[in-house]
Amino acid sequence: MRELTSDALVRLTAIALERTAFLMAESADPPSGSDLPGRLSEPLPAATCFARIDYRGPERGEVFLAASDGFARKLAAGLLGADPDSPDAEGAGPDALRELANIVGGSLICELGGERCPFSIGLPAVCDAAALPTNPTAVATLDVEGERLEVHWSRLAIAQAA
Amino acid sequence: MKCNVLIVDDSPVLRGAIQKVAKLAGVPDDRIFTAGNGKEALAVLDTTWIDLVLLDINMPVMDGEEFTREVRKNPTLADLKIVVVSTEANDERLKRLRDLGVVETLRKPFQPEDLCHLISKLLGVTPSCAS
Repeated sequence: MRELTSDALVRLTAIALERTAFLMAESADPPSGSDLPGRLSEPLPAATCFARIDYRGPERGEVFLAASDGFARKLAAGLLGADPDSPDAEGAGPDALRELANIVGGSLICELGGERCPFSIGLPAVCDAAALPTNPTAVATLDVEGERLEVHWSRLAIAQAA
Repeated sequence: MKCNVLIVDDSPVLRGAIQKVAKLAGVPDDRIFTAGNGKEALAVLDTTWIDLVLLDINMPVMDGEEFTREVRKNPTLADLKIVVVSTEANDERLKRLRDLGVVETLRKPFQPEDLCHLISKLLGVTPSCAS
């Protein structure tokens, strides 16, 4: 099975955000192999909203998203074509993040499994910070128009051949 | 245009987003119906004539594959057009859905324009998203 890097997580997530919500995202992580700090001059707002999804097939794994409240609102607004400060967007942030977990999870299994994808994806769910993996396989932090979005990917187990 | 569209997705935000695209495709607001899972969608089909279903696959209660199987058991719904709009990527599952008569699959994340053109093509109307 293929390996995924933080750069790949950034790429998959940025495509999902641009296509579905018209949001521009870039990596907030330092370049690979660099001791330099990330390119941010100001820290991003803290993550307060969390969602997860799992997948199974030749291997099992999970994708967790951690986002600032402002990101969740912008995402909901982008999906709905509404203003981020509108009542529609304000209450829809957690569901929007849950759906983004679904989309990023779907893109990730395509990347892992290729054209004839053997993986199946589970149901996305809103969760709390305690569910975030302590030792993820790869993590990416994205700056989405000044808001925080983290993507944590954990490869859990390789299925045993019968 | 007098075509009814049913959007089936467990995410209220996605239902709202797809509803906006359907309106851009030329479907009036009062001809767009929504359901949060396959069971709710079957209840809509019991009471309302639907021309096109935009269907998510991975949903609680009743998923999109089970919904499609139930629809195909009903001869009066034999011509119902079903488009899968989902993150589903499993090759075998997508083949089963095609075998059940799903006319198109659109993988999330999709470009809103792609869905708009697909809806208008299947319903035979000129969309406002035409370029």
